[in-house]
Amino acid sequence: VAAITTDDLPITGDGVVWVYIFLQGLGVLALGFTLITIAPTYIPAPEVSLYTLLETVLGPVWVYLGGYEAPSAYALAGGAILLAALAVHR
Amino acid sequence: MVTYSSGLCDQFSDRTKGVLYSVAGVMALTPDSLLIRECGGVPNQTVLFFRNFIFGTAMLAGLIITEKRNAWSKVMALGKWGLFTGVLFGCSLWFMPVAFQKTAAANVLVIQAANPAFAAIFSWLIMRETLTRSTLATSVVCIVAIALIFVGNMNEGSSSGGDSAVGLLFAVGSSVSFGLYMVMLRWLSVYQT
Repeated sequence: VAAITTDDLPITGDGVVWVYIFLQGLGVLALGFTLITIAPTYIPAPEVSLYTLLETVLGPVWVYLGGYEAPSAYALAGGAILLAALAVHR
Repeated sequence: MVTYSSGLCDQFSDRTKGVLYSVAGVMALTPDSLLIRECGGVPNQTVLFFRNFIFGTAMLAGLIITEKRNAWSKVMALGKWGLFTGVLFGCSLWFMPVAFQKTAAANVLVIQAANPAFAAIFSWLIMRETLTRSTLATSVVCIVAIALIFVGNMNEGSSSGGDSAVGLLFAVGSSVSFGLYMVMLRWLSVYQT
């Protein structure tokens, strides 16, 4: 049985990592999925799915603006083909 | 379920609410990849455990608040297939952050967006629902787009370390498990109620 050490806990840096983890658990997952689950009670589910495609577009933008990698040419091409196919199908 | 109402104002109000819920929900989801990147100095499994633990605790609290004394019976009513469906959702939530840590966020999100194609395939396999020609064509296009990302990864190499191919596989795992999760939700609503 592997022992848990302090290196395994998110207590690095100035504690801001905890803020990021709480934002993921409460802000992103809990709030995001709850709102997306409620939405189809007011508008058709396929329309809600169409809005979720925004995540594919905006996610890499936030990552790039945050100072991390830019999407590769292949990801842009694959993403454009896929989003167009899904949007046309729905 | 879609709610329709007779009055124009009511209909507009419902539609506005639906759009607001959708956009707010998606906007809440979009910073996920960036937040995972920001936790790069912490072991993957630690981030996974705590983010999902907080999410699970919040949802459990929500269930207890809304259902009160019926909360436990609601959980038990899920049965073994409900549990399996929850595990699929858990797998999707587990695979995606690992993928984010190992490959470019755009790759992960594009592959994740292909989950309706996997859902269509599982829907045909499990529920014997007919695949229309349009759905079949869209599924093929989604798989071609994923293949393009894999080819690009082999040609360009990783932009975030040497584990990029593994990251892409985790992204596919997340997309497949989410597609199957969606089909299982429908299967449960049809056969388990």
